[in-house]
Amino acid sequence: MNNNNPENLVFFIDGQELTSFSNDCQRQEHVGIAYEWEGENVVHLRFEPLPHSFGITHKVLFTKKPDNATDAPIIVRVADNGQATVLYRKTELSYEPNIIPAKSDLYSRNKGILELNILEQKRVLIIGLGSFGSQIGIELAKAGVGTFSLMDFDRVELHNLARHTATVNDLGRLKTDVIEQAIKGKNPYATVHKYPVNINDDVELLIREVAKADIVICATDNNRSRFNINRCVVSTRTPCIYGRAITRAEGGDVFIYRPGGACYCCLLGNNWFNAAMEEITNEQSARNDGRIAAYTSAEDADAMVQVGLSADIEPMCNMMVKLALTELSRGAQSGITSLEKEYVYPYYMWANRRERNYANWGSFDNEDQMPTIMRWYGVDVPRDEHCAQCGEKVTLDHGESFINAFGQQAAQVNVNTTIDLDNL
Amino acid sequence: MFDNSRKTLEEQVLLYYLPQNMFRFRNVGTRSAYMEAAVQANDGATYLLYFDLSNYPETKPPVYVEQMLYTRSGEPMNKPSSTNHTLQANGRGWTQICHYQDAFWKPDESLWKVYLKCRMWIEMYRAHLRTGKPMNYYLVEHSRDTH
Repeated sequence: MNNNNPENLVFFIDGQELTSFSNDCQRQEHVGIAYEWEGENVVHLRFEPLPHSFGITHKVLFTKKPDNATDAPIIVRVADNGQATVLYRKTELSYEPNIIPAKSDLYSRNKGILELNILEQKRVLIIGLGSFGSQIGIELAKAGVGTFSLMDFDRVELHNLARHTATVNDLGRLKTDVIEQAIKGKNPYATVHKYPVNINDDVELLIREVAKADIVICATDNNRSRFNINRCVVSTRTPCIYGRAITRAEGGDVFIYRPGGACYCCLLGNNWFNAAMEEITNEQSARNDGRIAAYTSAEDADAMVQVGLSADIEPMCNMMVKLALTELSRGAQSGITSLEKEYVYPYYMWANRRERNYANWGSFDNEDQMPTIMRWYGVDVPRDEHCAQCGEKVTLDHGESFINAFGQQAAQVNVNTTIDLDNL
Repeated sequence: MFDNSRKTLEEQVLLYYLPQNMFRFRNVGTRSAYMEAAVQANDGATYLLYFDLSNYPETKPPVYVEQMLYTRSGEPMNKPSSTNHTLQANGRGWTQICHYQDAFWKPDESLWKVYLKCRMWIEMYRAHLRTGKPMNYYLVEHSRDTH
């Protein structure tokens, strides 16, 4: 294409905005904004300014009138039948714009694999919009999920950028706003509800949102929030997917709670699940929630913050997306129906490198029949009937292991001495 | 949130080991729930412990001694200290006991178990006052020596 040829200019108009204007009898004119990428010969014509767009901006007049006295460099004439024609003063040429497609066409390439009509009706709650939550949100938007609730109190910081979908131009912005924009950039028809709050401080809001969701994505980085979320998903019987990276993203795991099955608290009751190996990506938040003990020195804390590569967290994000799509499409005939029979486990583990937690895994050629890197392994996790969050016969830990470790005498309480609290 | 059903479970465990008048719950079912419990060291010294249950059992309960404690050398125990196993004191200046590593906390831990660990801490604090040895010696190294 000859980029200098004015006839090659390409204009895009949002079909939804155009139809809305065309059908609105009260409006004859509307002043919008055009974004032109000159060297690329592309112009986007919008009715409302985009929050963060680049390129040269021009005024654009959308009008139903045949003639207008206007200084706008771009005029879009909208006929009675909704057809639009672009007049660009700079080239003195008329153009037929490309229409950003209607909802039914936007993800037509997914047809046959995903059941789009069903996904469009689904609501996904994503809690935590860090490197996991941001990618998962955008992937689910690309798949055609219709409604999102986004929860995260955090803002984009410089150290996020290596793994986050946010860009340098998003620094300092609320992650809920950044991801809303990214989701709408992929699916302008998606509905996004934003909650820039700390869910640990507003559990009532959390349970309300969980109850509305078809599935919850738990992409937070600490057990405090996971237990709060777990309690809500168990009480509302809402499926929930948890994911995390192990130190320096040398591996990671994904857990899915399906109503009636094991919950996240049941998972932690299994000795092979190492809760302490979790990756720490932010010293301040880790200090705030206790993953780095308050008395840890700045030097020691710095050594504990070990962030892995973006490419190394992708497998976990990818697995969470596929599990979510499978659960959301469950019961409908689609191209991923067969996955319902594959994703039968609640817990999946993955290793990127044979280090520390995975040091004893087998080599990639699998000659020694050990688990190897770069493969998913599903693990069954039985529901614990004594679990404190989902069990029917809840049993609390009396501290037997503690007493055994320190000796009966050390833990003995002198019950013969009665201390009346009111007299202290 | 610490609700009545959880309180019933906790009471069952606590009453198995402790006389009823040594502990009490307040504001159950609200975000300001707490438990107070008395603890007596082997040398007879008695302290009152405050268990903040505002986000219990989803998180470990912050536990305070309802007074500012001092080391044998007279230093206030109001700051995070790996030697003394303390965390930041609260607004009232109460010493906070570091009793649990967050990564290992699970909602099926009991207040009785936390109480036990805090009682151990009190015992070590009393030993520190008697001998001048750092609390860490009793809490980590001494226990290592004896196992």
